[in-house]
Amino acid sequence: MKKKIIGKRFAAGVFLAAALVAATVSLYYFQHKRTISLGFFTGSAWDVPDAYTYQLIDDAVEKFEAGHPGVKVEFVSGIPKDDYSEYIASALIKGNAPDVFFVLPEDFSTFAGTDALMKLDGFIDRDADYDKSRYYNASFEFGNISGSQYGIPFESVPSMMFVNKTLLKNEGINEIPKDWTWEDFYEICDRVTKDIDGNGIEDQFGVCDYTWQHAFITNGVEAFDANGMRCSLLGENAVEAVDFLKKINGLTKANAATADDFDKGNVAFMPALLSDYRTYKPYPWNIKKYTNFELDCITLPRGEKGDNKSTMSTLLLAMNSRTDNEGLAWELIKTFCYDIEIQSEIYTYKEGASVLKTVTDSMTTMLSINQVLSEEGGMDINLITSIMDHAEPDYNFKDITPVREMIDAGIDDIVKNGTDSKIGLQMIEKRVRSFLEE
Amino acid sequence: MDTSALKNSVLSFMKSFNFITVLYISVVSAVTIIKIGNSGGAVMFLKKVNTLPPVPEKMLFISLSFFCVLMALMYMHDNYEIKHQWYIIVMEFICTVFVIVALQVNYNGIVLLFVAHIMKYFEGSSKKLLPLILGSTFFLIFDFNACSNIFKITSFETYTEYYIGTVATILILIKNLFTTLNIIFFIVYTILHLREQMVEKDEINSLNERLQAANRELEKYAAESEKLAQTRERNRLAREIHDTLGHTLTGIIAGIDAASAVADVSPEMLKKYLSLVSDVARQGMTDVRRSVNELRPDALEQRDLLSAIDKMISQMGAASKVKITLDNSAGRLSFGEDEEEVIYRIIQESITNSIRHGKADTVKIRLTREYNIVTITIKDNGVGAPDIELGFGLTHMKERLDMLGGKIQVDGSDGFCVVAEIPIRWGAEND
Repeated sequence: MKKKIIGKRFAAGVFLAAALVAATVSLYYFQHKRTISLGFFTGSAWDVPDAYTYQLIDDAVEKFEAGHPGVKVEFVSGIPKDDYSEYIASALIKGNAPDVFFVLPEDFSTFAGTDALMKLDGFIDRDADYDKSRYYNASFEFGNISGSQYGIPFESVPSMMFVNKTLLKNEGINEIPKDWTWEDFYEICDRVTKDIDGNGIEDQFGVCDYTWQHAFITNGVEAFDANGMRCSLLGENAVEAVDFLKKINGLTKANAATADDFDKGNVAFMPALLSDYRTYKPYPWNIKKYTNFELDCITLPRGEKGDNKSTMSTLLLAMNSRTDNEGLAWELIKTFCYDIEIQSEIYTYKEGASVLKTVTDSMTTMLSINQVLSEEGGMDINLITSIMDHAEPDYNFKDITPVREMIDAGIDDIVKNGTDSKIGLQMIEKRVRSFLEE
Repeated sequence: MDTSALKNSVLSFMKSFNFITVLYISVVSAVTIIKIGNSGGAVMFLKKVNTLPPVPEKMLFISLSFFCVLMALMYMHDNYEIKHQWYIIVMEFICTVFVIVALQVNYNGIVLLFVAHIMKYFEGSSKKLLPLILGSTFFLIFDFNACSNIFKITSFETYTEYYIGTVATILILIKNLFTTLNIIFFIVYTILHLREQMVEKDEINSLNERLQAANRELEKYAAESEKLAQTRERNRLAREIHDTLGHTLTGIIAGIDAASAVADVSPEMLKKYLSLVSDVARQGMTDVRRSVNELRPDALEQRDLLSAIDKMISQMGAASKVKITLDNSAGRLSFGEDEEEVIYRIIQESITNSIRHGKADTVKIRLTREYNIVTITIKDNGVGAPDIELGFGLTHMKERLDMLGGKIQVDGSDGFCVVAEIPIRWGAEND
């Protein structure tokens, strides 16, 4: 075969073409670096009415753009919270997701598990101005999976116990101790559960929506390891918790109370989120849900081996792992999550709590809450900081949703059929383990 | 069609086939990814996989462009002279890996194409098994199941789960068909390659045998040739004896005859003749010695042809009182040794004949040249010879000339005339 020698001209041509491509790409890259995209949703992450989403976003974007002249933040507005997960997932799959976006608690493990989110440990370590200890531990930890930080907390809501103060007063109960126990809890529930209209059916209840998760967290049950790879439900703590669930559910017959009954004022206690409290309690708010009774909130009762703890759900801000604007993206995240002014606005425009201790602790914040609370008065303002200080992050491993459903169903079964707690838990654990091993 | 051509067409077919497969997998994956993104099932899909699917446009672009670069490299490899072959092989390999990675290891058949392509460049070398070994290693390494345990990748089958029932099955079947066919092509290629190598081996063997046969022939021929050389050498010796001794003796006889003729008249002349005879005899003696030594005319050894001829003419002319003239219009005479010797001997023999048989008293020698033919004409005014019998001398002249491809003509009608034509070898002239 006769072969030609590759000529200099040919090589030069190839080189020129490569240089041209490189120049175009770098030019495009440079241009691209001047804009950064943000993904957010309208409404509240906690399914409560919210009308002021844009104020906070606009303020944060304005502040960021002022601090970074020439950089423009781009965003698509008007995506409702219910469509947001799908919107981001779709954009991630198609490769056109924003550089920085909010991540709903329920999506976090899914997105982080598909490497869609950038690991932020490097940014945290390199940034001398950034001190993660300024966050509530539970808020910050929620963004951490298997030792890597995939999201920075923006807004947190701890779970707490709603109290129908009116009902309790009517039953002669005035004060509930701060560190109340399951025994206190059971006692009160037992006392208030009765048939008031005398039709043979109970119509006043002790508690509704109290689940194994509340019982577990307040009795120190460590059901999963950090990675969600192992499940252990056979500890004494867990058995006690399930026993307590059986006991407290045993107070009512078939017709267990619902959130609806609480709204009507027929239930003494209901676990709920801070966001619910902040939405429905404050006076100037146009929705007044609980009109016929005085609402208060307290910590969750503790079990024998546990503490008055809460789980805390957190809305995170994350960086797209495919971003080519890492530096700016990190700055934008910091504007939302680390800027005291912006974080303070959470108490003005949002329903949750700021994840920064200083903000939540600060006098102004307290005043602003006090202002609205003082109308009806009664809430111990230190309660929020105390709860948040002691809260545990919600589970954030990938399979938590199906696993939660499995445990829900299993414990429901135990409670309803009165199965032995230990045997029942054994079966659940077996099922969950085989599911996790898959 | 012979094996090699068939092999090449299988390889070209593999190339186009791989292109279709890469195109198929990337297009189906990309379209499916976009469809999943738009379907409202994006969250569900992400829960199912452990990594984001590749960006569809990027995957299409990377897989197809690297495939094209690979094809270009292969074309260059085949059609251009490449100094450092390893560089281009490494570049081809890198492209192959990029295509595989872009397709998330959902298609590794391109490794086989790469191996098939480089196989021919290792032919006959000690590393001819290297491509096959490397190829099978990479083929095993770039296996989806193996890779999915280490790297986070999404299978083609996971994408197709988006489609309902039959469509998914058909899409997977097409992919499997492509993959299998590619393996079959590779096997066919390998078989053809091995067969070609075997055929080559056979050819080499048969060539070897023929070479050996030729060698034996040659040995036989050499033996014959030796015998022939011996015969020739004997003839040559005979000629030498005739040429040197015969010539010298003729001179001596002629000299003695002349001496005896003048013995009574002039003792000085007698002395002169005797001294000439003595010269001739000494010359003869030298000739004989030389013949014994090298069988080459001494005169020729000591001087160039023309002066050797001059010396011979003056010696013979002086010894026999025959007037010998030389007319050289051939210019500078410089020939090969054998040519010089033949010319010298022809002249010598002709003069001897003229003196001995023709009783001539003048001999004219003329040397001419036309292109590469040197013509020697020796003419005397002797008795001539109406019927020419080829004596020993003439026969030898003819033989000598034959060896050089020349020819000789003799004419005895008016005195005796010898015309010899010798083709001179080109180049010898400038020695």
